[in-house]
Amino acid sequence: METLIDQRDAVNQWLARYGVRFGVYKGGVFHEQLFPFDPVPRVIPAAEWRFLEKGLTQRARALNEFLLDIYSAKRIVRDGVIAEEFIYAAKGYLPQCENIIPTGKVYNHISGIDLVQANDGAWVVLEDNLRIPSGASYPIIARTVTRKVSPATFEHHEIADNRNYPALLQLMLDHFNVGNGLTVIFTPGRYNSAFFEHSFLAEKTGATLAFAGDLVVEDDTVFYKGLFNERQRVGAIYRRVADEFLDPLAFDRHSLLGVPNLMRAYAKGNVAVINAPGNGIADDKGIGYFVPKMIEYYLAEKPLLPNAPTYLPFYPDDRKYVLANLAKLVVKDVAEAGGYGVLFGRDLDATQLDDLARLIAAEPRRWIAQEVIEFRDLEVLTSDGDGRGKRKADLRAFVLYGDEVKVWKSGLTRYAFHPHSYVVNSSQGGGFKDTWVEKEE
Amino acid sequence: MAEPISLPKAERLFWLGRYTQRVYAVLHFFRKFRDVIIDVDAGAYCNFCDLLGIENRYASSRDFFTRFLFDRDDGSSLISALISAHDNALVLREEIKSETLAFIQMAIAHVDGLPPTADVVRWQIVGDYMLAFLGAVEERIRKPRVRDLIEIGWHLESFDLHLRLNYAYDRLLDLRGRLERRLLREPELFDQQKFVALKEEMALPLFDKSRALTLAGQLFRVDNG
Repeated sequence: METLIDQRDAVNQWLARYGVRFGVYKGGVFHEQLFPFDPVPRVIPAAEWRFLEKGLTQRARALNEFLLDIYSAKRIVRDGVIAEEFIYAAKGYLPQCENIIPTGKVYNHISGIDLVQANDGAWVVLEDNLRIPSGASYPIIARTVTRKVSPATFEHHEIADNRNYPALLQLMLDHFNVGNGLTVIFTPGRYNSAFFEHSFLAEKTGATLAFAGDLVVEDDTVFYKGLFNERQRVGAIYRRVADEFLDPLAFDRHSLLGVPNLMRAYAKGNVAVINAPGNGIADDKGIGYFVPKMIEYYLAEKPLLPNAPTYLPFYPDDRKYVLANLAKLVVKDVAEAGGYGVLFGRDLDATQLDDLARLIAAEPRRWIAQEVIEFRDLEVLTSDGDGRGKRKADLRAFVLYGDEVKVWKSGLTRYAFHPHSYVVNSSQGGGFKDTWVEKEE
Repeated sequence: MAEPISLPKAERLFWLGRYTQRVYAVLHFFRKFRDVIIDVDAGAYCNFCDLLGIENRYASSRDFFTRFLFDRDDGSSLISALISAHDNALVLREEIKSETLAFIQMAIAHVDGLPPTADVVRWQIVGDYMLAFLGAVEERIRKPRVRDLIEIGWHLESFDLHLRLNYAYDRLLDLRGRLERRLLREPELFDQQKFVALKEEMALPLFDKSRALTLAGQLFRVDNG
């Protein structure tokens, strides 16, 4: 491990060589910046991973059942497990997706599930990302570089190779491909914050990177437009364009990023869209509360991975508790993402707490509140003191749902920029680590 | 069935070839003019601008040395050509591969680390990276059409620049021959009549340079129309 740490500069030079960046908008202007990498990995023992794998698989299966149900029979609402206010008022619920059953009845082909490990070692789910979860490319490239720079480190540690993610992804995309057509990764373009990942995954999976204007729908079939009016049928679209911009005829009519009539082709089963449109209903922060109930309802199993203790001010009892304990809770705006709209009660003064309480009382469905989890610090290298420090970190695990459900033996470990901060998002200045999963004995 | 290439992608590949060659070749020409300016003609940079067809917006040779290299607001500067190469390469990663793109990334990173008054000698490695890029195109890219499009751009730019700078006729014929060999690999991507006209023009005892440049600029043809 020390060898790898000694090679920190060499690692960073290689990352710069590969252009490992992410985009951010500051003051409306697009900037690209390197994603800081810390060479001290998060290490997950094999037995612990086995448990996580089961819990994550269970969660992804239940969420898929929920999506299938919510866009068709809605049994879970009829049976009173989830109040309908949490479905139809959610921004992520798309009526345009009603009764569209995707190939293989799979919606969340790729789930990015964010977890933290509490001080007692227990893993707790913070949220599910089922629309266009990003971040898998960074650990792959970090492993590629660290193995190159410090091969000795990997000779002395039995670590599962995580560079198989593109192969797993490709296998899943091929599984759903309709009519043996072209597989494309559909990107909103260079100025998207995750463009590096779109182009990197296209390179590594052999998919074609498609931009707005490269795709056209004719006779309810999607084609990639080549030179001299050549057309090639598209069988699978791994889209990195958000639902609302995907098809201007179905969603935001002002969208210049989408493909007109794509939803018609998708509804007719002529193309696979990965992840399925409409998944936003299942990763709504308010819906996250119900996932353990979904597991019991759809799978008749006990949930293996708990949620962070969550309260929904929508329910009077929860609201009473939240308003009485605001100073010790973390409150999240369900409409926000990327670390925005997250308020720690302990960081607010009395006036700010009163203001927040009024907002919650006025719009209870807009907020969730969670107990603050004292999650385990991970060691990072720093440029001050003795060069070592501690930071809060989470883990985004990736679950791929193809002909079977597979959990990628790695994940994106993100750590906070500031020593006592709980906000780990890259857009908030944090960095990332490799995630080592130890091989089975 | 071979995977098709979209029109925007074809154009980006072509311009990637042109801009990388422009960085490589103009750096070379710049050093030659820099040498002339030392002890022969302090105003030689004006001639340099004239020949390349770029606006002479420089107050002095000193101003030219700096701004022609580093001024990002000057579309004719070397850094602008390098950024344009990078802009095209960045959206072609899956075609040209990360290892090929890396040479342009490293060139950009090197220039970003230079003081804005650094002498052209500090740009030497940028030229080396451009040549390494071309080597990586040949070595790493598996799709023939992707390679061809970049190489057509590279050799067309080389021919164009040498023609502008009045290189010897034999040299121009050699560069045109290199271009022709790439064009013949992709006959549907260029205007063959224009190429015949270019050859006829250059066969004249006193050929018209500006007509030859115009014809060269019309050779590449990928529009769907």
